[in-house]
Amino acid sequence: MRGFMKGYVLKRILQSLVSVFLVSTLTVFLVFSCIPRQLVFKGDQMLQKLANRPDEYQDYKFRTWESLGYLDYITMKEYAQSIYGNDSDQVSTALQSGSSFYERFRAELQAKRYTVEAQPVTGYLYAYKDIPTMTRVLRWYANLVQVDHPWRVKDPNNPDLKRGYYFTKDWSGMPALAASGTLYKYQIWIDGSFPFLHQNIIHLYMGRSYPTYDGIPVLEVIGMGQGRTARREVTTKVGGQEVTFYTSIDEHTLKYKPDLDRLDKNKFEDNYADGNNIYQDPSMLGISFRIGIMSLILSLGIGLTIGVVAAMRKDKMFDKVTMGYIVFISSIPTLLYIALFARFGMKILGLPDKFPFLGAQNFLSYILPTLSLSLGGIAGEALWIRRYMVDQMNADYVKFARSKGLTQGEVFFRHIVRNALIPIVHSIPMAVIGTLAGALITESFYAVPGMGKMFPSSISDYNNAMIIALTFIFTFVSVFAIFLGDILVTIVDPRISLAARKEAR
Amino acid sequence: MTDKTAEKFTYATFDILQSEHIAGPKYSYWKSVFQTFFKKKWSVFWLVLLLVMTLMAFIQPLLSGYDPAIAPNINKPETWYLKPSAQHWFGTDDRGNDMWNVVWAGTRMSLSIALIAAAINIGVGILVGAIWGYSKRIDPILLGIYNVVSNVPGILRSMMLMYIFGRGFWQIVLAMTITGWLGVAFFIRTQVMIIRDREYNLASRCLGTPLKRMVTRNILPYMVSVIATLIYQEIPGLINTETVLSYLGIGLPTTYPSLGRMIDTYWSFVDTYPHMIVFPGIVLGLITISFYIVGQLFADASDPRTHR
Repeated sequence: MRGFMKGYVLKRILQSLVSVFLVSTLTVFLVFSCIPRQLVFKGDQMLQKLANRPDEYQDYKFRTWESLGYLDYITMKEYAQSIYGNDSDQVSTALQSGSSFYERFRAELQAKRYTVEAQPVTGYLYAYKDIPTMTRVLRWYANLVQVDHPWRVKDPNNPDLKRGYYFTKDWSGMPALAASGTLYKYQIWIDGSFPFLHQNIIHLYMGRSYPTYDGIPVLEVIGMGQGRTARREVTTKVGGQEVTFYTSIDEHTLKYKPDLDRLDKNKFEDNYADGNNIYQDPSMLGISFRIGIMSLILSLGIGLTIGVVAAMRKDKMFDKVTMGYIVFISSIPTLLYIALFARFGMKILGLPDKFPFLGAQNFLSYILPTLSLSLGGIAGEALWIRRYMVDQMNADYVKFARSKGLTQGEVFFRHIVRNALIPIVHSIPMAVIGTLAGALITESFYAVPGMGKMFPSSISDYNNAMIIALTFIFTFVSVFAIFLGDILVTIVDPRISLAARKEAR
Repeated sequence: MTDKTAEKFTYATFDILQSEHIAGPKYSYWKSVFQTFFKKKWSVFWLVLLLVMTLMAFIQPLLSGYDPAIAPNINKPETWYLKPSAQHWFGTDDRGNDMWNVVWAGTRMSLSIALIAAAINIGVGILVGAIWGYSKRIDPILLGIYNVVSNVPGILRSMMLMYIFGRGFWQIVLAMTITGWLGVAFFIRTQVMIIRDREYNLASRCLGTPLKRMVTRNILPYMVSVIATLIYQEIPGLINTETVLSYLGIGLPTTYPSLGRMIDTYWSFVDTYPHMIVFPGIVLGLITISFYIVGQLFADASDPRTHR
């Protein structure tokens, strides 16, 4: 039996991973091949400023495309520098108009299958070559997992950089494993927030965000705090002396910084001086997670309760009201009932109908988005459990139990509800997927700064990396939920546990 | 005396066909369906409402000629923000458009998208599902595809596809249908598998019923109720998807009228001029509820087990 379970779990894990892989590959491929590359500039302010300087405009566009992985881009100046070194005389002679270097550049790069074009004003040449979509998909996967190690930083100005691990204490005095030569200073540390033990050794990287949150890796955008920075007093040792200063830097995110300025040297002993800020409000992930989990609990709790009660009072008033609610919620568009509910919550309960009114610190901001998100789930769960219970009530074993003289309550809670445990477990993945889908709508409606709002706004901004990352996260969560549901069902199902007991004898 | 009683009797002719006739009430499937359906006043009410609203949505915009790209009263402030009156039943909006025209034009757009997409999804779904249910060879392939696709929430799929295709009417239809038929096909496949191996079909096959008769008499009557169930869940669902996509600004372009776009554009007036949001909301709600309820009642009526 155990062997069977293990095999089944292994098979399901493999299946789930294949699903996530296929969906993300397809997404990456479609985004890279179907979205016209001109569109990525739609939300870029910089490009509008350059509009009346055609050369810089052209250069900026190609540099951005290169950094987003669309193409390889090389200018005449860069090519000359790569040949003559940084010797400015030879480079500037090569760039003078009428120089033979123009012909050389054209010939050599065309031989490498580059397209060579001239800049509109200065006439300098530049060359570019498209990177095939399949290569870009492969690169996306190649960059996905980034492992930090003591030989990662290669700084020519700092050849004596020590390389290795050591134990230390962070600013709050907690023990931590730090390293030198790595990208991140702190490798493993402990603190008071979930999941308590943190690491910097393995990072996922899904590209950088552009044009919104320009330059920041997309997963950092989703994971970093929002709102105002939070400053605190920190006492640390620099060169054997105790220093006290106010800062909002999160010491656990400190990265290697090649050029230290005077301020950095006052605060840090080593080159690890580049850290992210601590913010007052939770991250997009954090906000979506809070709202999602709460509404999941609400929809399962309330939905299952009213479903069971409706089944017990079949065809009575309560059942009819519940069925009316279910028909209402499942027929009218989500947007409409959320709008209705928001009006009700604002006018009658006096709650804010936009999240930013009171902000992420205030508990009241979360009430309407959470409840709105659970409205659909409640209807789904209630319908599901009611139908299951009603079917069970006519089952032979229930009739038999009743004819033996068991009371209505005994029959209900000893037999029917126990059997209904299986569909309850089975309905959890459904509820998770419903919550994910609902988050896309409710978060936009209430202007909640979470992942669900980020997705449609990334679509309007053509933030490709963000769209891919969010699709990956959403797919991963729903695949994982389905996997968990399947495993739980095999554990909970009484028929399987019965077989296990027989074998044990 | 004997003669008089004899007059009351006539000789019956021997008829070989009569002796073969099995006594029983006459049963016509479709007649019973409609009888069961129309027996409830409730169903007639919702059906009439649905028909009236659908006809209004498809006829009224032809007469009004409303086009959101043109705002003829944009320079006449006296026509803006009018409350509902005898002249403007639903009032006017912030650019002097008659809301009555706006609402029906939007309904027409949303309904057209939903109906076209539903027709494609259900048509392709039934066809593929029927083959899928019978063929053991393609079952694992389609099941694999279905498992991968169904793992992604539907609205996320549509949003992703809308991003790929760009905004527009046919783009929305494509985004809804390109994976939408899979769910329908899976549902049909399961139903076909259940029905095809039922005892009465087994018996029927043993008695030599030809396949055509099996399909039309044994399987289809069962499937009618299944298909009706699909339709009543599909159409409100697709209207929902369209409103969400258009509301989030990734569905229809701004030059198209639609119920989702209407909620998006008029939501800012919800406090000052509530009529601009209430009427589109009511029409949107009524049309989806009537589709849902009529479909549900028809699905119940078309189930042969409810016929008496």
